[in-house]
Amino acid sequence: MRDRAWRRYMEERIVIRRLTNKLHLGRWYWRGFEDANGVTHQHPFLSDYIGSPDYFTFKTHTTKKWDSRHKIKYSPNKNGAYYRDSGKNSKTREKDRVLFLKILKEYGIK
Amino acid sequence: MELSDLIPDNSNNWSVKNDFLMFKKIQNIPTCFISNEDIVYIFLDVRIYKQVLKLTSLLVNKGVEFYFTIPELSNPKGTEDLNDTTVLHYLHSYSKKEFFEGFRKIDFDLIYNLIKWTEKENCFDLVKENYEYMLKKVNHQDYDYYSNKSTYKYGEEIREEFRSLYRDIQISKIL
Repeated sequence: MRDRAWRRYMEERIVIRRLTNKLHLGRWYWRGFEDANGVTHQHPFLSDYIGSPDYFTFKTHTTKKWDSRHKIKYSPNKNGAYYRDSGKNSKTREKDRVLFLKILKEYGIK
Repeated sequence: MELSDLIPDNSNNWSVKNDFLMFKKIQNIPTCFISNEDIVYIFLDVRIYKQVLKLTSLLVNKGVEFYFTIPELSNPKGTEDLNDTTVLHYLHSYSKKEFFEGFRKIDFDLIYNLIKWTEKENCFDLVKENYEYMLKKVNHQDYDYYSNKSTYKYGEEIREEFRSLYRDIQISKIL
């Protein structure tokens, strides 16, 4: 169930939520908002934020336990305490990716 | 020719709505439309640059006459000075890394397309003015006094290309 498509769907939902918050905060800024095409919008919409630095930043951010409403990330066991970034046996995709990049750099591939 | 014929791949994100071919990336973003003269106009939009490049290579293979235009044209409000804005947008998009490298990969000459469009609209005079504005923008440098180094917003390859771009434009005009 929690395959790549599901993760992409969840990521998109989170990015939309973060962009919407940004949209409501910066909508009435007098200088307007310059989108990825270099066009200034006085009252930007959600689609104007696509491709902007904020969009990529919000995609890169990972959700930590204190960001989530249920103190856990996407878990059905929402009652127990969850410390995904600590402990000896913690394995996350982010950590695996860092390790993988390190190995690639060692072999001169990246 | 219909808009549904211009869908370049099997993705479900493509759709035809309100005389525009749309691509869904969080929201539906207009990609192209067909004018009354049966000419295809593609929106040069960095937000969906991969789809723009795919569409361009498809139209080149089909041998259809097509030009690029500004994304604001999909808005019913339109723009005040369409020709001037379009010429600037062509050059602005050419300075973007995504399009600069992308069009080179698919072996498509964006500047030649610009010249063809200016000949059609009789507005070649606008090119030099906009080129000088873009040249200044591309070569803009910020000096860092702490490290005694100059930093540029655009890459070296793009800056070098823009230095001799007007000569290329004039050659394209003669050809």
